Amino acid sequence: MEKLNKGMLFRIWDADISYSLRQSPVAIVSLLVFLLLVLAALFAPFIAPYTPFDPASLVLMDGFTPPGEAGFGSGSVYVLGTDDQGRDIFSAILYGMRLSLFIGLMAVLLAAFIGISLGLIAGYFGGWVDAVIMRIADVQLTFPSILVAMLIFGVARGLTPPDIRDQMAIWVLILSIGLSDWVQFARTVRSSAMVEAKKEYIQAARMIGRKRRVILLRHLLPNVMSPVLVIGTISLALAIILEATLSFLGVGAPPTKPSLGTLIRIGQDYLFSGEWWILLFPSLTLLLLALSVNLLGDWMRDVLNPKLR
Amino acid sequence: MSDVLVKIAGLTRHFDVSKPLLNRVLQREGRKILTAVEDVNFEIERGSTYALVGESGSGKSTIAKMLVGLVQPTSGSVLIDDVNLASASDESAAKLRQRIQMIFQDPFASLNPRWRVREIVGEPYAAFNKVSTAEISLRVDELLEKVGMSSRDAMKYPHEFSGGQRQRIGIARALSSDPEFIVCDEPTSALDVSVQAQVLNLMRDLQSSLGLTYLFITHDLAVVRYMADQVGVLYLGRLVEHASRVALFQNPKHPYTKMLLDSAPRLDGFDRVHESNGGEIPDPINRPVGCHFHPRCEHATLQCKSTSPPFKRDGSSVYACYLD
Amino acid sequence: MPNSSLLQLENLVVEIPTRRGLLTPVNGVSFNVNQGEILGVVGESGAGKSITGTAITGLLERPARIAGGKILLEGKDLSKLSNDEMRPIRGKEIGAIFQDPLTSLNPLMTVGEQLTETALVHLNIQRREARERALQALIDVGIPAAENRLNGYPHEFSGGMRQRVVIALALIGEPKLIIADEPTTALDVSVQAQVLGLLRQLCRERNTGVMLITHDMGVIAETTDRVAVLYAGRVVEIGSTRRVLTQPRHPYTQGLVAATPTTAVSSGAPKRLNQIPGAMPGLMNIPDGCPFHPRCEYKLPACVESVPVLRTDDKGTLACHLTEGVNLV
Repeated sequence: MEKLNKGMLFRIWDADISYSLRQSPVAIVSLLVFLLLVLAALFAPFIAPYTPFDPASLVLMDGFTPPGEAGFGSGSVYVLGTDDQGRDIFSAILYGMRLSLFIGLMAVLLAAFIGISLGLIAGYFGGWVDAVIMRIADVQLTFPSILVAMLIFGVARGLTPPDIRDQMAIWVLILSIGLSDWVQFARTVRSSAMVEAKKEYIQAARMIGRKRRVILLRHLLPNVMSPVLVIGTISLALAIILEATLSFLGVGAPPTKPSLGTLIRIGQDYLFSGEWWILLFPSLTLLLLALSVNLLGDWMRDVLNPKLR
Repeated sequence: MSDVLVKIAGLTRHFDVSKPLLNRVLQREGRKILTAVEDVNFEIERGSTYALVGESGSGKSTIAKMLVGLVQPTSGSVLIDDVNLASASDESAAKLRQRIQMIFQDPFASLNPRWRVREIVGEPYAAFNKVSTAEISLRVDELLEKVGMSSRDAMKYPHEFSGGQRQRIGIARALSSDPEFIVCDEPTSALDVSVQAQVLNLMRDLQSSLGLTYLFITHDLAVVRYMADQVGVLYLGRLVEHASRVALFQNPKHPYTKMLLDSAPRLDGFDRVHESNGGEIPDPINRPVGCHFHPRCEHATLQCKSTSPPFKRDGSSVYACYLD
Repeated sequence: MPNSSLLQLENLVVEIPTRRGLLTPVNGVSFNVNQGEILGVVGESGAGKSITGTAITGLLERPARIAGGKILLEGKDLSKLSNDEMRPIRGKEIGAIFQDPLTSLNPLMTVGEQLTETALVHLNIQRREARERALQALIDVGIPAAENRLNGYPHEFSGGMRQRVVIALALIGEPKLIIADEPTTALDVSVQAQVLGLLRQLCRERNTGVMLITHDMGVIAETTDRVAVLYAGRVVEIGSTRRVLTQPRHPYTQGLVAATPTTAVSSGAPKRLNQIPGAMPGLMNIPDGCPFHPRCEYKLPACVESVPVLRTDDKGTLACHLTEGVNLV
């Protein structure tokens, strides 16, 4: 067993993609920053000094404490300061990042699932099936994703009873971001599927009478997946930003469970009255997160592009 | 005397290549029909090799696809052991599919790049028989040995092999369901000469040891001479000549066959002067009226330009030409 | 008849450094092309014949590079020239014909424009004369109704006609040498014979030397005067086409000839095609000594140890430790 692991680790290290990674300082830095942020978010319950989402633990008198100073009320030190409610900014950022990442990831998975399925079907069957799916995609693309997301959010909101709205907010967000983003997955998978469907190994499978479901899932799907990783990564960056935007606009994560976007919204109100830290630190975190994912995605696209090899 | 396995009668296939309705209305164009295959008739005897020769636009690939059920004929029939694949019930169709297989031209596109060789070669066997994984594995090993490869190759991926080896894997796959009839669509056109020799020899050996029947599609007359018992020559969808191998090469009847034989470069053709037969294959959508070959034929008469010539028989040769 | 040596390759070496090691697709290739002669360069895929042609025209793409040897065009060493220095030579002294006519021609310019521009760049003439030459070039390659076709775009020509235009384009700068890389492989057989015949006739008329790269032995037999056989980046045999194909001396050449099916009619069923066991080694797996030895039935101990040197004697040029060549049975 040990020999196998050593062999595998070596193979991963030696693989072309790892080699390219080692050649690109930008990629290395982005990857490290991203991993750091993800780990911080993952271990938030262990790292965060305070629990910002528990209203009972907040000390109102500690509100507006500047970074590094002690609060008026409790005397405890807040590394990055507190907001108007006495929430520790550092802890809020950690938990907020957790939320943003979770929503972003789930939304991308949803978008990928919808997009890959529709793209496969459109590419393989062609004809009117393809035409219908692509027209739906075209129509959706004419709307900015924010509007689509807001629309879905509004509809979902209207359908849920008010008492569980806050709890449902996260799932509604995932649904709305995911539904607004499936098109690029569909388009790329569709063009790959169209190319692969004409190849002779597909004909060989059809010839022996294999069912369509088998051909789509076992023959076609593995061969259209390569661009998906790149699109997924860039989609993640976009999803994070979209979620932050929605939360900033007030139609996303609620103040009781704030994501980075919500924190920015709160901070914005107090910028000009001097409490700059409430806005600055969440914004910086969002910037780092989105930028590192985006750069990673860009690098991956260049590296995995077979034409550039 | 003869035991006919495959019988093609009146096989025809049209493709509608018209522009979409709106375009046609705006540009005032009619429908465009491409006749890829027109009224093709021939028979293949059990255990023999029938070579179908043609250049681009001849319809040979379409015929291949109709024979294995990938494309439906517009009219005419394909009978394999007196069973019509197109109109058979689901059950007979499945049984029939097991007896037919295909070997493809492109060694790079004919194997699923994400599957291991074992899965690729075992797929037809597993699809037609209820067998366990171990049994599939055994069968795959057996097949790989038969085509001159080793059982160690079963767990590799296609990209680890050369073009010739991939073609062998394709042959192993074709043998997997124990078929009787194999359609070979230009199986060696993409291979180097020395590798082609290996694959052709392998196919001949397999034919004699397993009693296979081949339909061998190619544009290379030299390969035809090596592999075929009977030969059919296609031009723009029509079978213009059909003869035994010996008769075709020694005494070609149709002017197109003669032109093909003359054009084929020969290993002993030093300083050979070709008969300058000008012209190229016309667009298959706008085939010449009458005998399709008449624009390129130096003996063309008025009759050739107006009506399609009927078939004539001379010994074992059947050909469509007004000339004697 | 061929006279002086137009192109002389001396031990040409092309290397491609990769992460996994140094690849040497051309490993000491030497042969000549004489004026007015057609030399065939034959080999299977991976033998290095196309890269040799690319190296001669100076179009190697990074990281491939010429690592040794000389490319002498009438005495001038092209291997040392920079891209700027090669540019005036391409088209004017060396013309090129590639396999795919669709990518050799600019789809956005008419055929007449492309011919005229090429003539203007390489010849010291005025535009009016260039246009006349363009028309003449189309007539020379047998395009019917040439005056009308001058205004046609490449996609309006059929495959064979396009390749004729490519030949016209290659010849219009009046080059001394033409490098043709599989010029008819993508064409139908009936057209192939016409195009090759045309190439032969035009080059004879203008005393242009031709290096014809192909894998098709039949094409070699019918089109070339002499032939060089390549294997795994090395030359194994050179000689007059007739001699090499009827009395091949190198075991690989012999195997290749015996493996080629032919339409020549003889009595009885065709003999079994000879097959050479194994396959040409990939660039990463070239064996020591003679690259052909693992597949050679006449292998000697010397063949495993040292690479045979290309030697010329009265019968031709050969690189084999069996210095007398192989006796044809």
